[in-house]
Amino acid sequence: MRVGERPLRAVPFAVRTMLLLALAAQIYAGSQRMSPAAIVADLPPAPSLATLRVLALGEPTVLARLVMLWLQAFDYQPGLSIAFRALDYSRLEIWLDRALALDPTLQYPLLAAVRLYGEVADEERQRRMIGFVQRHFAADPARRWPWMAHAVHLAKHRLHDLDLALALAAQLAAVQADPAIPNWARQMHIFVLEDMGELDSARVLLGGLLDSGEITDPHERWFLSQRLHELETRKAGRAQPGSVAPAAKPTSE
Amino acid sequence: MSKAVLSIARFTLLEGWRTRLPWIAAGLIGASFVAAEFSAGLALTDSASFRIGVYAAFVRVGLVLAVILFVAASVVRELTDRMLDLTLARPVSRASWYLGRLTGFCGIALALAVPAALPLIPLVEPLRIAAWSMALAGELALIAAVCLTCTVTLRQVAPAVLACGAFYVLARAIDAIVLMSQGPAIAPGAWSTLAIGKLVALLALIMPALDRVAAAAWLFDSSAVPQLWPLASEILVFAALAVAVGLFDLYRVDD
Repeated sequence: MRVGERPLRAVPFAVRTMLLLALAAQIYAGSQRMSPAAIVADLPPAPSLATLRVLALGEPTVLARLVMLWLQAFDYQPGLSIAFRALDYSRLEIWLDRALALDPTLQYPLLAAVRLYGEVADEERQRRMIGFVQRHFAADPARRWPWMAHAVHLAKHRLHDLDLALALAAQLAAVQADPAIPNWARQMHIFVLEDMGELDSARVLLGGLLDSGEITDPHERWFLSQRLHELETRKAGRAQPGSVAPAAKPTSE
Repeated sequence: MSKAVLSIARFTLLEGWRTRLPWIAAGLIGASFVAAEFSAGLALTDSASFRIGVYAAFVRVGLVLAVILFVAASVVRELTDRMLDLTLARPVSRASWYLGRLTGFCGIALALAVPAALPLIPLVEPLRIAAWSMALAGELALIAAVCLTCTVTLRQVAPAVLACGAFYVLARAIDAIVLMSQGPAIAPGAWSTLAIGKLVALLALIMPALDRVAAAAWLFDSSAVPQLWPLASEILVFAALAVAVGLFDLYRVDD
């Protein structure tokens, strides 16, 4: 017994009994309570940017992150998991737009678009997410190139839409050289062209790239030269049906 | 009910009146109304449900906070001024003092819930308003009972307010916590999952689910008003438990 505390027998019997009875009654009531039911909620429409700025209370960058966390957790509502296919992608796109508008340096909306929501097995939804990345890429290519490169990959390997992949890759290649954007990302259009059978275009672009002096890394120059050589060999093979193409010879630096 | 209980309840009501609690409540109701009008103005569609929902949610939380602060401050003042010693020196039992204070606080809860429903009169059907305001009064009375228990046990304003606030947040979230503990994102075989699941289930047994009480959706969703008697019985049972814990502590304290 602590100082300032009276013994248990100081508590009237009625109070002790009431405590035990009330505890038992509460446990009984809790066990009889209907179990909470999980309810699938639709993704609500995004508020306007002006409303979100008011709600941000001067911290739009924090609100952008909270919006993304909430959006990411939306498919894990308490007690159930919702397939991305069940989400309304037109609303989702507006939510991603709002998060990016609140903090244009945030990578999360673009990553979520191509790596999360773009992985859904639904062509229309994939195209919507690729379109989202494509629309926002030009505003900040130095930061957003990885998501554009992933969009090229999605278009080429998931959608098997080489025209779209080429358009995206061309957009990547068209940006001014920036140390933040690696050369392989800016060269993607060449390989898409190659996949499309546009050997002449690919060869011209690859040769131009090598001649421009932009490629300084010896391994990269060797790799691209080899690809150029392969392209020339394949072209020669097409021009002379039946002829045997010579083995590719690496161009050493 | 004994004369002592009624006297103490009357003085508690008088204290509420003289400490300007009605003005604080009026301010809260006014601020909630303004916030509701603002949100309805921002909404592109369905502005009526925004107005009603925001008002009901804001005023509910605001009044709960007001009740917690009033109960904690009032009881701590009585304890530090040694007024409880003076009261108990008279032929008044500890139980009478406790029940008197609780009755007064419940009266204040009712007096706060009724004006909170007034701005809804032109917007919502009367039966829905009646159900919502009765449930709000029950919730405020339950919070008053829990706060009285916390204050009698902890004897300081800050710990009592924090404990009661934490209880309220947990009671509002307990259903969602139960669902999350069973959700698909949880690894079913892990020992930590099992332990947390058991702990949450135990908590759910001894906590009231206040998210089911006085929900704003009752006022604008045509199918949302549940039966009131199971909620009332749940509130009464938990209030009895809170009173029993508070009385137990009060009798053990050597004043």
